[in-house]
Amino acid sequence: MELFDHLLYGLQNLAGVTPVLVVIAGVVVGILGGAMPGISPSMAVALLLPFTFGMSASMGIVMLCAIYLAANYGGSITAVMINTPGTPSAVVTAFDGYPLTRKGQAGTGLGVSLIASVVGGFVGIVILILFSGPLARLALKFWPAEYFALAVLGLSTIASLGGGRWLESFVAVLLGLLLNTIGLDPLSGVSRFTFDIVRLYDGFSFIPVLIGLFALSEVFSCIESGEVNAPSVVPDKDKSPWPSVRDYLKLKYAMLRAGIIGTVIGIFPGAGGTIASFIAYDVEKRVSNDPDSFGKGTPFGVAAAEASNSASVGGALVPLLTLGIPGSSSAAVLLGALMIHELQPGPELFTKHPEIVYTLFSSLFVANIFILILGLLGARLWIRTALIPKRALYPMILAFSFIGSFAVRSSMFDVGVCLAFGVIGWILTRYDVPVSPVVLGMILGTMIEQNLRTTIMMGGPGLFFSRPLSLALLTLAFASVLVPYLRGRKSPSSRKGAGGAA
Amino acid sequence: MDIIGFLGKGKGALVLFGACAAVLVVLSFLLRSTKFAPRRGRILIVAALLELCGVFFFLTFGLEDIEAVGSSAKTAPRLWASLLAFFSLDQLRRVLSGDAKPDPESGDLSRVFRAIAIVALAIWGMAYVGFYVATCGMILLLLLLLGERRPLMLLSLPGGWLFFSYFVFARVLMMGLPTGALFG
Amino acid sequence: MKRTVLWLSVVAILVSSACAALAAYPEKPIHVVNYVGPGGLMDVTSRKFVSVAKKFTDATFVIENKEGAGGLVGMQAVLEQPADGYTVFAATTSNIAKVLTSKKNVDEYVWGFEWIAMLMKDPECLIAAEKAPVNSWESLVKDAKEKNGAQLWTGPAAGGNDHLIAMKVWDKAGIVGKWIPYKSGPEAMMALLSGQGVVYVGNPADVGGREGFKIIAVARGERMKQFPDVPTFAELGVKGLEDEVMWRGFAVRKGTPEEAIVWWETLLKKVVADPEWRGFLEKDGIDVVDYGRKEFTEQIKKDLEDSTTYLRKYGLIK
Repeated sequence: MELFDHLLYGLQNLAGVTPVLVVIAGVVVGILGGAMPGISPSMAVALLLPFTFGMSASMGIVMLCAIYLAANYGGSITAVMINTPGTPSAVVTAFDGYPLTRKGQAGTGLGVSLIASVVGGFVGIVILILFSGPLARLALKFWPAEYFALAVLGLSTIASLGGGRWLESFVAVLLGLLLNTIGLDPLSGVSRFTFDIVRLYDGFSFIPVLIGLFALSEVFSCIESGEVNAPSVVPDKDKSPWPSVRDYLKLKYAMLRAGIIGTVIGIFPGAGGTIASFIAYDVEKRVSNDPDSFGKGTPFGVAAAEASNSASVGGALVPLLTLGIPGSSSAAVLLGALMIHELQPGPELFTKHPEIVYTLFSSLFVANIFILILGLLGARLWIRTALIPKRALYPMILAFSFIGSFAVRSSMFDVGVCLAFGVIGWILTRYDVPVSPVVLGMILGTMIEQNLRTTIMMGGPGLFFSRPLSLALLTLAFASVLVPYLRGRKSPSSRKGAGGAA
Repeated sequence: MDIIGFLGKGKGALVLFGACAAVLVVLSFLLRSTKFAPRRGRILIVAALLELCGVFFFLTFGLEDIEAVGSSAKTAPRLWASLLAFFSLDQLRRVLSGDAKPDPESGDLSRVFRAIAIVALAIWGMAYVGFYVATCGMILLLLLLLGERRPLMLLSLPGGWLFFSYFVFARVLMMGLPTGALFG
Repeated sequence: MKRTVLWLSVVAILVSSACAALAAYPEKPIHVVNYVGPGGLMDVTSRKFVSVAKKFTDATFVIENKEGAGGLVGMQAVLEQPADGYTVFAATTSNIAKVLTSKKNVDEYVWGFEWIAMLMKDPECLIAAEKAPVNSWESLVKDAKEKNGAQLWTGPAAGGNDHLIAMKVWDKAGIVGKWIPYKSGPEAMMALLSGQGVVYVGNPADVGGREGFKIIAVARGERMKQFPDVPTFAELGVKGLEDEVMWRGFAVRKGTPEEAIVWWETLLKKVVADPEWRGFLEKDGIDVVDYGRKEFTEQIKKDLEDSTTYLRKYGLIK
């Protein structure tokens, strides 16, 4: 097989002390970066970008890819331990990861998220290497009508996420969509609801909102309930906190399914990775024998979320390598890195610099293995976070939140935004309005609006229904909203079921 | 048109938000001794959401349509505002008919407000004393607020943070956090 | 007499201290503010510039990214710093159009800057999908006439430089099209490949490394060395599109000391002569220039005038 020869060749480039050290450094930095509230994978990659200029092109790319993969996993650590997703796609990891920690099963949450990340990562890479061609053709089949339909499908997952609280979830998602219209109109550039504040021209920056709604609101809630002074949940001393191999094996299909969903949806530029994690979680909940356990701390939920968001890394590289178009913000930084080394990403890279491409592929495999090793070592450390008294932990979370919010655009305004959304999130959670649909609405708002209007400009609303792919996606979305709604009507008792959203 | 232009920025915006807040305060006061008192918080949230919808819908009338672009900037905000208003009203109906749960019992609210005040103070103070001093002070005050009294913790956490954050963010990552007017 | 002496000495001290301060430029790190994120086009350009410039100077450069609002956030950040030449804005053509379309004050956001160094002229061109029915200027014009206004052109944000060029082409060639804006240039190119529009407005570098694209016309006086088969608009019979470019360059706040500006102009000449810098840009069909304050300011004036005319003509501004 020619492919294996190439990959072997790529692996040879990684044999040696320096490349391995580069990968390890990338993985360590990535995990630590991802584990810091507010440092998203794309930021971790961007912050470290300048350090790679001095390296050779292939080593630079190897390092950045390692950071990218590892940061995606690192984000799940904070999601599980302190309910602070470092990335939009880790929001879903927190749904079940944090409840696990609260139940004193942080080991399960951390273990499953690590294994699922690694498995999902492998699935993504394998699909990337074997099927990037056909996937790129699929990406080209997507017109604005399909992007719109995909975003709507993403939104429709809240119908099942919210559990019985579908009304509150709808309110929350619409609040997110409405707040998302703040800023310059993506099509005409008209300034909407900005009150003439230049900082609002791009709307609310995403990371500060995320940290505010999740981390700060959780801190405020715990201060209110007095939980902050309660003793930490000490895991059972007699039992190993870590899941056994058999526990992991139970999750194998969940991880595979989520991995495939993550890769395929991850190829779409924009919100691919995030939509993928919501959809993967939704699918897992639907196929589960025990859908009620979702949102209350089931390893299946964590596995689905983490596997899909790590797999989306492979997905996001598909359009980058086949078309020269980045599939995610981190991939966009990779594109910049390639350009600084005077390499043009795109199909020509395969013919002109195959060594770079195959070194990149091999480095993803190697990085994944190091994530597993270092993750297992690190998890012993992270689990101790649960032992830190909350009154010492919380001030630190707030301080980290400042850094994360500031770093996105080097702006103090965003730090204020973070606090404001912290207060909003605290109030909403107090009155049973889930905050994760707000986040989903804010992620998907632009995608929905822009593609809706573009489609209408291109040929009228008829396009949504005359294009088969778009019609299929919309029907699926519609059905997934209608079914739980009708079920909810039939049995009012099911309203009690608490939602997945924290 | 002019009134929208006035309310859409600067002082006008303050007037607009002030009015909205005032309505909420009055409403909260009015509901105090009615049969809706146990669900007052829920009603206020719905009211705030409805106000938000109203404000956004109202402000869309000030948006300009650019014909060359071929699609209006007003569509989406109006759509979301209307749908949000619809679902909020449905929620209001549920609350008023007693279908919804009563408000949750309040915990230690004053401590939350003090925590928020400390955080806000730190953000405000950053412009003057810089990021490092401000966050240090914030950590110290929060520790005291949350009941930490051991001198070792009170010293080591803010100090450790100062050292760590300066080294990692300023030296290694060169993030350019604000240093403040006093030290700039 | 005494007073005169006193005054003279005061002036002397001031001048000498000022000279001492200025002669030392740059005595502190110079911050280069990018309006795009790391890895963005201008970010890549300024980082490359800095790395080449290090051959000629010991100055320390710090690249900052202040993203947002098409450059307005970055511009504002620079304007808030003292006019001492230690904060430099890395600008492109798009920023000028952005100031106009968002109705910001031109005197503040454009002329609040001293435009000190223009690095390059990236010629604008029309790009079509190679295998599509419309893949030449002739077929484009024919298709436009048939569709009569419904021909779709893809590109980044409405009112940006590429949209402006599209409007100029429509005007000069007497055709009508419809601008479909995408979130970014690359996404618009992907849209072109998937058949959503017939032509994309961009720069020659956009086709580099990507397959399935073809440049059908370039807005340049003569053909590009790197793409000898691509005709210019003039050859195709469309006049008035001989010098349509996207430039990239540096600006400082108005009132920056003369020494700092001269230092930059001198540095620019040295960098431009460097083969590494030329190679980096020329492989993409970009014309390297070394415009100082005077020529750069002329370019800005022309841009402002053109943008205002066409944005108004097509109803994007009043």
